[in-house]
Amino acid sequence: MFIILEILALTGLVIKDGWHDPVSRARQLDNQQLVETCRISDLSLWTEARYTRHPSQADGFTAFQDGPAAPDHFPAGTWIPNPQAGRQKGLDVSHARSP
Amino acid sequence: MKTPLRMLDFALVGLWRQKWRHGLTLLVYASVVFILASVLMMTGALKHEAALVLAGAPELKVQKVSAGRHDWVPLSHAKAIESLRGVGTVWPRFWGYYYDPPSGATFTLMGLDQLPLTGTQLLHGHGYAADVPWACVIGQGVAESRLLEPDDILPVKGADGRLYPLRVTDVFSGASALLTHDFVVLPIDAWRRVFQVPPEVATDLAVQVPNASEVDMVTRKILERLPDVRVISRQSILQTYSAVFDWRGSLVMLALSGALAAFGIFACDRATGLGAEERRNLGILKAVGWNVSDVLRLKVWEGLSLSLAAFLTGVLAAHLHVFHFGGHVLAPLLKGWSVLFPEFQLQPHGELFQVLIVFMLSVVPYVLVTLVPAWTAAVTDPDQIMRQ
Repeated sequence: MFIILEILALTGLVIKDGWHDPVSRARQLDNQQLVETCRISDLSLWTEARYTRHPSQADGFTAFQDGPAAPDHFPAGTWIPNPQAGRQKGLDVSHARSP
Repeated sequence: MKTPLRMLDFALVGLWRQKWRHGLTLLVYASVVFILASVLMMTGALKHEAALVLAGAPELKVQKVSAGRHDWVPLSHAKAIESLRGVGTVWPRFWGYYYDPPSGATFTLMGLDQLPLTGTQLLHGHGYAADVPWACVIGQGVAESRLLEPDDILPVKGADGRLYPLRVTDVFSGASALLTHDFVVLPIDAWRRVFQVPPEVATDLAVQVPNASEVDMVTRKILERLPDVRVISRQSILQTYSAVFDWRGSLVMLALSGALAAFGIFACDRATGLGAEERRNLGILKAVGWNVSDVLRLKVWEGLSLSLAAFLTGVLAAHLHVFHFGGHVLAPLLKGWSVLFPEFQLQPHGELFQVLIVFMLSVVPYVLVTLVPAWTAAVTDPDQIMRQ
């Protein structure tokens, strides 16, 4: 019974979320128009370095520059904490809104 | 007695008899499936989203390379490329990075004289006003990090040391966060003054090639005509994103490989080590006339019931996590060191295939390992089993 309920719930969720409703379709079309208008080449996912902000445009051919897919610039980065961690120990107002 | 439904009923009663032991297995099993499925679903959806929105990007980007580094491209290069057969329009692109000390974030400053996004829901208000001196439109991440709203001032320090007050005329909506989160779009003249860029150069060139089959030929001609440039095709951009998400997904898998190995050992131990009570039960079943194949069928039903319940729980939780709760468990791994990281809604893509991979990696091996000890016990003399 439990397994049947789970199968029904999963099927329902996949159909509901997989169906491209008009709102998400409109969002995709808007974003495509934005890419065409601004001739955008990359997603603004990772802003920490130029080869992560624009992976497709990065000068991966430069000496000592990691490839676009590299997760970090130096191997030591695996052990050194994020420099932002210390900065954010104070008051975090990043999500606050002005009145 | 030995119809499949009765056999299933018997198997479920057997599982319930040791509910704490099997409950723990179910919990650990479902957690492993949850992590595996979450990684696959998230990377699959991100790859699909990237391919979808970047499908409209120009076919080629041309960068000038000087002494092995990216350099400003002369606008004369645009004319040279436009004269090639097969090339449609060539647009110079003006963009650069600006580190903003108060927020600790790096913004992408883009120079554009027009932002014709009429008919879209991407801008909140009156949009981009190029006739307003020092007007700019900012992304949601910039607005949140600097607490900015339309008509506020965003001061940026130029390359000449002067402070330029940019007036925010609009903010991109969250629907475009995946593309514009760190954007500051401003008129080209203002952009040049901030970065002190001479008027005869641009950051790079975007090249439209109307006939897709001519992209390789146009690339070759550009490289022959202009040996100091490098050409990036839209195809390679999409491939880069595919590789990036596969890489990040693989990194998560690598980090979790220890946990996966631990689960493998745990599952093998649970599935293969028959307890004294289970051995006694098998002995009784053999004594009352069950043959080897009946015992094996019972064990398959037991393994399948437990495995399917854990698998479905894990996949269901992963789906809700990635597509309804923003993938918050995996977000820190995906985020890296980004100060500005957009929140976005993902659409499932290729989920059936991903679920099938997880099924093959979890359910099938688990059911198989349960068969070995059951077979060993089933072929042993019932009297000997019960005496043990």
